Amino acid sequence: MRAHDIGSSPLSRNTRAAVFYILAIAMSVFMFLPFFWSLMTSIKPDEEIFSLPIRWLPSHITFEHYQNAFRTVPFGLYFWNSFFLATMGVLTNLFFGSLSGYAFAKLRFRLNKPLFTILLAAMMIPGVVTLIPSFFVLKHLPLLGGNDLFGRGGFGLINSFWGVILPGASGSFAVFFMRQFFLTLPSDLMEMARIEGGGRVPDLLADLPAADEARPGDARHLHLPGRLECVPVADDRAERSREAYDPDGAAGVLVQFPPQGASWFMI
Amino acid sequence: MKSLGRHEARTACVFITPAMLLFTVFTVIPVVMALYLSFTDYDVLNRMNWVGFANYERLIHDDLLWRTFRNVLYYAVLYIPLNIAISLAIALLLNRAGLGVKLFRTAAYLPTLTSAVAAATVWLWLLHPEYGLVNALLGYLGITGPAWLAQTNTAMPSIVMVTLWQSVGANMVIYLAGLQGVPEYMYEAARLEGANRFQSFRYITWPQLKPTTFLVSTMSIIGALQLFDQAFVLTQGGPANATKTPVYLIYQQGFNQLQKGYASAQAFVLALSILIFSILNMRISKSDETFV
Repeated sequence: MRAHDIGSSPLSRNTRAAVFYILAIAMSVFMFLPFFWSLMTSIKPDEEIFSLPIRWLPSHITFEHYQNAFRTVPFGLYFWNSFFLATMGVLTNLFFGSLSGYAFAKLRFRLNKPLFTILLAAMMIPGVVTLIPSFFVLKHLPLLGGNDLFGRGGFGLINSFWGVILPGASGSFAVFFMRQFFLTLPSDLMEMARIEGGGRVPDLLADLPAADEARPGDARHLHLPGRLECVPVADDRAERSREAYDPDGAAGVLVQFPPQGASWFMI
Repeated sequence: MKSLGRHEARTACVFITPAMLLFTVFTVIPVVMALYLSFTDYDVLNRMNWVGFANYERLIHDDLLWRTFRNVLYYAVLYIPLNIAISLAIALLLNRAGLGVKLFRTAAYLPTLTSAVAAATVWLWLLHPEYGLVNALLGYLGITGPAWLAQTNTAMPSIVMVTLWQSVGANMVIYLAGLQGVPEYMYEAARLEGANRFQSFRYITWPQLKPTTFLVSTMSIIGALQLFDQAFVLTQGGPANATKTPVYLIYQQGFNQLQKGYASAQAFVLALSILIFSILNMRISKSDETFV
C-alpha cells in the first residue's frame, strides 16, 4: 500500500486488509459469475435449465449440448476459419506495421508528418461509414476474382478469405503502436550498425528482437478478442438462443472461450 | 550528405508503400465513395442518380434517426461516467502488491477477452425474467426483478450494465498503468502535510491521472456513439425503438432496405457528431498537449 500505512496500528491494518479482500472478492465474483453460469448451463440436463427456483449446480453432468453444437453446425470448420483469419491478421499487421512504423519513427522524408497525421485521423472515422463502399471496392478490385482491368465482370474478393484479411492487414493502430515503440529505441544503435555495413532491412530486423516487447501488446490489442470471435457461430447462436433460450447456445458460446484464452497466453 | 538523405527517403518510400497502398484502397477510397454516395439515391437495384443535398434534407426531418441519437446520448450519459468511476475504483483497489491481487486483476480483465456477441448472448440468459440468474439473485433479497430487456425503462440500463461488465477490465489496466506513473514522493509530501486519503486522491491522484482519464473518456465516447453489437443481440433495438442506435439504423437502412445513398448520409452525420464530441471532450479536459 501507499505511504499512509507507515505507522498505522496492526489492528487497523488487519481491518483494512479484510475490507480489501471483501471488496476484491465481491468484484471478482461479479465479473466471473456470467462465465460460471454459462458453464453450468452448458453441462446441465435440459429440464434443470428451466427449473424454478434456479439450480446452481447440475445434478449430473451432460455433454449432449456440446455434441449438439458440433453436430448442428460445422463448428470445427468455424474454428479453423477464425484461427486462420486471426493468424493472418497478426502476421500481416506485424509485417506492415513494423515496416511503416519504422519508417515513420526513424527515417526522414518529406511526407512523414502529413501522412502519419492522416493515418491517425482516419482512426476517428467510424467503421460504418466505410461499410457500404468497402463492399463495392472489394467487388470491383481489378484483375481479381474474374474481374477485368476496370474491375468489371467478376466477383472480386467477395466471399473469399482475402476479402476479410486485406482490408484489416495494415491497421492504423498497428502502425501507430510500432512507431511509438521504435521512437523509444536509441538511434545510435542503428547508426553504428550501418557504419558496420548493415543496411536498413538488416537494421530493422536487428531491432525486432528489441521490439518483442511491443509486438505481444500489439498483437493482443489488435486481435483479441476481435479476430478470434467466431462471428458466424456467435451470430447463429445468438439468433437461435433468442428464440428458445437454447442450451446448445450456451455450449456454442462457451467453446469459443478456451481458444481465446489459449491464444492470449500463447502470444 | 545529400545523397544520403535521398537514399533515406527512398528506403522510407519502399517501407511505407505497402501500408499506404492498403490504406488508400480500403480506407481513403471507401470514405470518398461514401461521401459521393451520400449525394446519390444509390439502392443497388436501380440506376444511381445525383440528388444533391436531398438525403441530408431528408434526415433533418427523420424522427427515427434523432430518436437513435437521443438513445445513444442517454447511453453515453450513463455509461461514460460509470465506466470511468468503476474502472478507476477497481484500479485503486488493486493497485497494490499482495496475495491474490494478480488473480483479482485477472478476474476483472477476463470479460474483456470475450467477444461482444458471445458475451451479450450469455447476458441474454442472465437477464431472462423467469429463469435468469439476475432476477433469481434479486429474488433471494425479496425483490421481484423486472423483465430487463423487454421494458422500455430498463432496456437501456441493461445494455449499460452488460457493456460496463465487458469494458471496465480494459480501462482498469489503463488506469493501473497511470497509477504506477504517479510519483511516490508526492504522497509522502502530502502525508507529511497531514493530508488524509481523500485529500491525497483529490489533489494528487486525480490531477495526475488527467491524461489517462482523457484517453479513457475519448475511447468511451467513440465507442458509445457506435454502440451496435449489444443492442443488436440483446434487444434488437426494441422495445419500441428504445435501444435502437444510429449504427443499427444505418445498418438496417443500408443492408436491409438497400437505401445505401441515404444510409451513407446518416453515417456521415454520425462521423461528424463523433468528431464534435471528441473535440468537446478535448476542450473540457484541456489536456491535448499531454496526450500521446
